[in-house]
Amino acid sequence: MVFNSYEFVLIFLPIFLLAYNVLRSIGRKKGNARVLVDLCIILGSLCFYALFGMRNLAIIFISICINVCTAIPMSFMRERGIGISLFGREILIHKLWLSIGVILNVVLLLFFKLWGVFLPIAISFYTFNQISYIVDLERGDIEKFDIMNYLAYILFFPKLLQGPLMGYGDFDKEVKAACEKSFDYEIFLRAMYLFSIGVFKKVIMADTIGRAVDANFQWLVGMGSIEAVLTAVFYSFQLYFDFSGYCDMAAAVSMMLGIELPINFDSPYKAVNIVDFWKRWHITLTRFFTKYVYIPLGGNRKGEVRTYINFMIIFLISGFWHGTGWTFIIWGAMHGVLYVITRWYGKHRENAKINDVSVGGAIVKGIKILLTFIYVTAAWVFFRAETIEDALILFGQIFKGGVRSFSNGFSAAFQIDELWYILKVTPLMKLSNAWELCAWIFFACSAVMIFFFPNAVRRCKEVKLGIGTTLLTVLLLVWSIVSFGGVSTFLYMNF
Amino acid sequence: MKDNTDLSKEKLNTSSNNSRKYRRLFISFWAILLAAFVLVGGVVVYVDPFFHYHKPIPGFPYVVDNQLSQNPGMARNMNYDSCIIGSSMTVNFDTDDFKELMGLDTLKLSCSGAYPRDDYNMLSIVFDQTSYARKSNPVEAVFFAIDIPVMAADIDTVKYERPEYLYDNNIFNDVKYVLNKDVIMQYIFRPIVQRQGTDLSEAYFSWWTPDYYNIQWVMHTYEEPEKVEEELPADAMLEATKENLEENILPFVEEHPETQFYFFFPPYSILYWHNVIQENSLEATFVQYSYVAYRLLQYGNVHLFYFQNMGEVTDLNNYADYSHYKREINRYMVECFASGEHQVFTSEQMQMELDKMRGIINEFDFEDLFSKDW
Repeated sequence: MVFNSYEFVLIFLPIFLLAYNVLRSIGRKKGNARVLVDLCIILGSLCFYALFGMRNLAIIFISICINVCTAIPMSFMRERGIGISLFGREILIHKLWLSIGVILNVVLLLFFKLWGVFLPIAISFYTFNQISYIVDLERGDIEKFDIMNYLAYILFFPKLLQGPLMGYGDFDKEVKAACEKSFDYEIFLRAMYLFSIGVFKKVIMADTIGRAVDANFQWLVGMGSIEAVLTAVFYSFQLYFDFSGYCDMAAAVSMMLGIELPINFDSPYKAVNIVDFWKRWHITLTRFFTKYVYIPLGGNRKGEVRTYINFMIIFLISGFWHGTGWTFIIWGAMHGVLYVITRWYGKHRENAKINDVSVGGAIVKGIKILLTFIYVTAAWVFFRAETIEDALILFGQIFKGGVRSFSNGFSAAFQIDELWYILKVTPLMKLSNAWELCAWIFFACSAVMIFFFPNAVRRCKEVKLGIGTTLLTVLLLVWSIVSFGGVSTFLYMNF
Repeated sequence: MKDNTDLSKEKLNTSSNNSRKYRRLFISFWAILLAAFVLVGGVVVYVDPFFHYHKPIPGFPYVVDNQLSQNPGMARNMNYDSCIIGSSMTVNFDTDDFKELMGLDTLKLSCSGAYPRDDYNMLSIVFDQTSYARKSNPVEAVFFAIDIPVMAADIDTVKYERPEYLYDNNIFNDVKYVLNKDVIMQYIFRPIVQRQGTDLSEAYFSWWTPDYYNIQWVMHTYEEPEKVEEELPADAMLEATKENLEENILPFVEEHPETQFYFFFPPYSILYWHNVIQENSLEATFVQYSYVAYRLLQYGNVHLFYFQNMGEVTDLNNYADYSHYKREINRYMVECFASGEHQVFTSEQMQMELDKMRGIINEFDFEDLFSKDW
């Protein structure tokens, strides 16, 4: 079940919220709120995930078994500090056990990514959470293994599918705090406000733009220069609206439960350089890689060259994590190379101040933002393209020159009914390229939302609630919910 | 200067005021949200553009262009005493012709690309005695296009995944219909703005305008199948055809002796037969035709028509592709349903018709047709 579905919004969420609040209230009175809250999260999340099919459930069950079998003996051995001698070195056995657990998690992930008959839903995310959990347990960051707490952490449905990645410590703190809270009208309204923005970003913006991008990526050679540029830029927009829309919804649902998730997107396309970008885009993944890969690799403690190599390793792993194939590796490498150059430049030029985003006036800042956006967009082309050749074709079309009408599929994607009415009642319909205008309207609206609107999570916390925000919430919700379905169109035009 | 007690009271008051304010907003939120849903859902249920709940409301310009979504509702809630079932071979029928020539109120329930299972699904709704349609009128006649090429398909194969919420009796999944932007915008508001509904007698008409029906267009778009070297055994498709007949078609004929079934083999062009020859399945196809005819002719309420050996099939100016014929031919078929021309009464007669078809195929100069640059 995904957040943007009738089943989730109209059935699952209301029932779960009701059950959660009733159980939490009973638990608080009886002094066992944590148990009931964990139980509610586990059962609710299993129902949520089970709707993706039993084979997905089976795989997550295997993953849980691997990690329970890692965590319990590891805790036991760690308490006793048992060591063995291996290759002439004294090794604590729980560390060895942890290594086996981490390897098994990675093998499970690689197996399905590389050779699996199907890719289990959310396997990348929950595998990272599993690794993070057992590593933290070994390090002593987690006091003791508790099966209920562990299951609630791994299965927590708002973050299960696409993150954000959250350390157990932070999650535990939030759940503890949630157990003390009761239903709060204000928090609910703010969460609904955030949910409505998230679902709007996903359903109205990302999905519409996605249809146009898909159409053009299927026929790259048919594009003129402007259309090729627009396709690349729209894909950047789509990715942002899709992923950040999901994260907004996840944060909102979690907020309704009294559990705050970390911010995962912080207006990333407002970044002034690539280092800044990675502090704003998929923030929790960057944190995960920093904590569990970069630092264990030595971080910046082993000299400058080694630091840069570590950065490159992180970005290449990130590329591979996003998808198999050279296009993802190139995407990771592009980010890695510019990241290293930017860090090097920042280190060796005294006045570079790459971390100070306030340097320069508005125009300079605008240019920096634009250049960063162009580079990130160019890298996204590889991320989206089926093959390297396809990506190069798109770049070729950009520089080929010539103005052509937009392709039918691209243009049609933006001809949503809402715009049809606007065009119909205004003189715009008389323009020869009225329908192409829809693409430009989408472009303008997207750009304004991305480059000028404040971050949705922060906005929801700061906004003054009133009838205006309530009406806006209802409008966005209703607009998005009625857009979930659509009518099955008849594709068999030629019989 | 306020003392501590005053400050505490003030804080409490503010907190209490805020709490009341948010409670009011919370109630307002739900009230507005529910009102919006009721309004949207109410309009959809009232107009009911897919006829899921009731017959059409008088005067509303309904747009009927979506076979998958609108056929089930039409079959349940329209007033009709006969219906047209089948693939795109049936879309160009004008139901006014049935009224004029046979005195029947006919409903077109075409499903382009239909497999026998699709026909079964539609007939199940048509013969559902609990529907408004059946309570109003019995089914006097069914006009059914038999497409031999799909008769050997798996008996459960359907052309497209159905929007189940429009087919089942589960009211909970109706939310996908009731709260659906496409339904509201394209099937309620847009017809109101354009003030133009579909003439039901012409619903689902093919998008090909008369200009498309010419040999140049047909040959220009024709894709010749690759020649298959090994000939398909004559009985290769018999078992599957038998299963399809017995599972998906004949049960309705048997269970409804009061209904007259007009089965017909649509007049595909000569290029269809060229495809069959290329696929090396000519004998197997003829055997299929004979078998289907034999089985259908066992029933007293069946009227079988064989149109494929009409003179028109060799003139590609009557077609828009290798199989789709122009509207005049549909009109002619209705005339035949009324007059009995082209009707086949016995298996022997069917064999004669097939022999005639074989003769047409043998005499046709395919070499000449393909030698030209179209």
